[in-house]
Amino acid sequence: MPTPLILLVEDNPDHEMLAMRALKRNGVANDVVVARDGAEALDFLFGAGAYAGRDLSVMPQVVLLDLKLPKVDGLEVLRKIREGERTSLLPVVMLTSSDEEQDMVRSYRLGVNSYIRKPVEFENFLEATRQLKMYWLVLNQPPPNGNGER
Amino acid sequence: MIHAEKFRRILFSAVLLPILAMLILAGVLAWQISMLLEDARWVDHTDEVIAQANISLKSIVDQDAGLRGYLVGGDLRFLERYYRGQAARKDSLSALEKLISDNSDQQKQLREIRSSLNLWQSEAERLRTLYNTHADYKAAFESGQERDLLDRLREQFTTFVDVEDKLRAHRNARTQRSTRNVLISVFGLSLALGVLLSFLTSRRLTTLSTLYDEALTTERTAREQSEEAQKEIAAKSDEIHQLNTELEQRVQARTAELEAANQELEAFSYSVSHDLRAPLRSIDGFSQALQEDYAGAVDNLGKEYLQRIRANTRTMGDLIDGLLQLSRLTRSEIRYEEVNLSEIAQSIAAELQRHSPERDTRFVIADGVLAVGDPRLLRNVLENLLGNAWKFTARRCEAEITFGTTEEDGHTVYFVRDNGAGFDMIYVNKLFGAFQRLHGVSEFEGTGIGLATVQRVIHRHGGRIWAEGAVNRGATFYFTLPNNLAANA
Repeated sequence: MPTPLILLVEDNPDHEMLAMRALKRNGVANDVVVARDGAEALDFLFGAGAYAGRDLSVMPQVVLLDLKLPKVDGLEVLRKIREGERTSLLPVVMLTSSDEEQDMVRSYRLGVNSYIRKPVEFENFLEATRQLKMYWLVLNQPPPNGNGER
Repeated sequence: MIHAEKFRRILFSAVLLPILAMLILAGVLAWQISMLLEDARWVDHTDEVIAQANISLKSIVDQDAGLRGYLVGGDLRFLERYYRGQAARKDSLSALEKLISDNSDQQKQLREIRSSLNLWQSEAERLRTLYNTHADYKAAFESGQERDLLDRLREQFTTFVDVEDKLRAHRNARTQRSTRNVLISVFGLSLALGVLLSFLTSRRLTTLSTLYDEALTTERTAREQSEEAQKEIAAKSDEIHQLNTELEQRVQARTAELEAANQELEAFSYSVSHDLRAPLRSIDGFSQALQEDYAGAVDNLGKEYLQRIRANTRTMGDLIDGLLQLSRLTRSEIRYEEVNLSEIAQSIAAELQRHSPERDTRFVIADGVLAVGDPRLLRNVLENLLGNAWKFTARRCEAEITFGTTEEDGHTVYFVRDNGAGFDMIYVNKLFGAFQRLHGVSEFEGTGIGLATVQRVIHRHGGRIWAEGAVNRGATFYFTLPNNLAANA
């Protein structure tokens, strides 16, 4: 059984560091793949670029996606994920500091599973992350991959 | 300038004058003709007299002839003739008398004729009597006395008739003259009248036509003026249309500018919310990381520094949020719906109590308070006002927060009242300014944006907002919303 995996897509190195720290404190750190922009995220998910030849049966259990990303932005990544055969059922959580209603609407329209606003107080974020981990990694039943295997 | 009255008057007189003149002429003519007829009648009269005189004479002659015939053969037929003549003579003489009743001279003459006649008559009778008595009538007859008397009668009649003839000629001449007079006067008067009339009438007609021309000119001038005026009006209205169009265009341009500015603002706010918050999160995050991971290496002062860093980060985050909200409210469109403010207030109250269950603040919320406005924005208003009330009653035991309505000048006024810290009324004008705070941060947290936001929302709905308060005796915030459908339960 492949180890549970989180794909974190975050362009801000500070936020990435904080997120990793938060995840580490919750025991998930070594199962995180970090992509620094939308293109890298897609490369990983579809086995292209630096991740060419990757075993594509190994898919993350949840994708933590930021809206504002360089190269390919969050909504576009979300769209591609939903369009890809292997990836269409991946749980995606939009983690963003935007509280613009239109962002939320667009994300939900494109099929995001959850939309979470990144709070300023990091404690809340930590808690949120912990809750995320509890829910998505422990509680939630991930969708079967294309092969029907878990 | 022509007066219709004057025109009518002149027209009237122009028509009346000829009629009047005709009447005068007719009158004069009638009079003259009557005179002429009179004269003609006198001529006829004279003829009649002459005729009658002749009849008289004839009847006398008849008498004479009858007498002579009788005297010759004694034929009674001649005697009849004598008597017939006598009767006729009597009749005609009396008729003659009547006819000459106007002429005293002729009457005298007639009297003489009568006396002569009487003489002859008696002689005739004598002769007849002589015959009847078989006396010597022949001698008497041949003496010629009767004949002489008859001759005398004849002469007298002749004289009589001559006089009448002369009279007749005289009267005829007069008739002629009268006729000539009539003709002259007809001609003359007609001419004179004609000249006068044509003169007067032509003058009047000229006046009339002048007046009419004037009227036409005036009317034409007026019409030209009105056409001018209309052209001007058309030109002016064109101008106005043009100005309108220009105005429209300018408005559109301005609106486009405003929309562009708004969109810029929106983009700006959007990036603010991301770009400003991002580093803020990092600062806060690393401060906490430092606090937690290096707690041992940091002394109490250091911990306090870190705490202040984190507190300020939070404040900055609140400020950003507040600013964003304020700017968003000026841009967003108001969706007008019927909003149940009571329900909103109750849900906010419940939320506040859930967050801080240790508080025993009492909420008094009126039922069924309705208003018309944007549900989100109005919720924001109540969140701010109730949140403030909640905040400023934090230190009051037996705190009470009321939401309800009251009437003022027939309008519904909504209010949120608390019995908390209150404020000094001399600072009431600063209440709604952005970033204005009447309490230090150490007393009550807050960025000072909330009320500015509330005011913005209320004003955008077209309402008013004001506040009353007293230090330590609480505050009441009133606001109105036009188009309200408040129904007090």
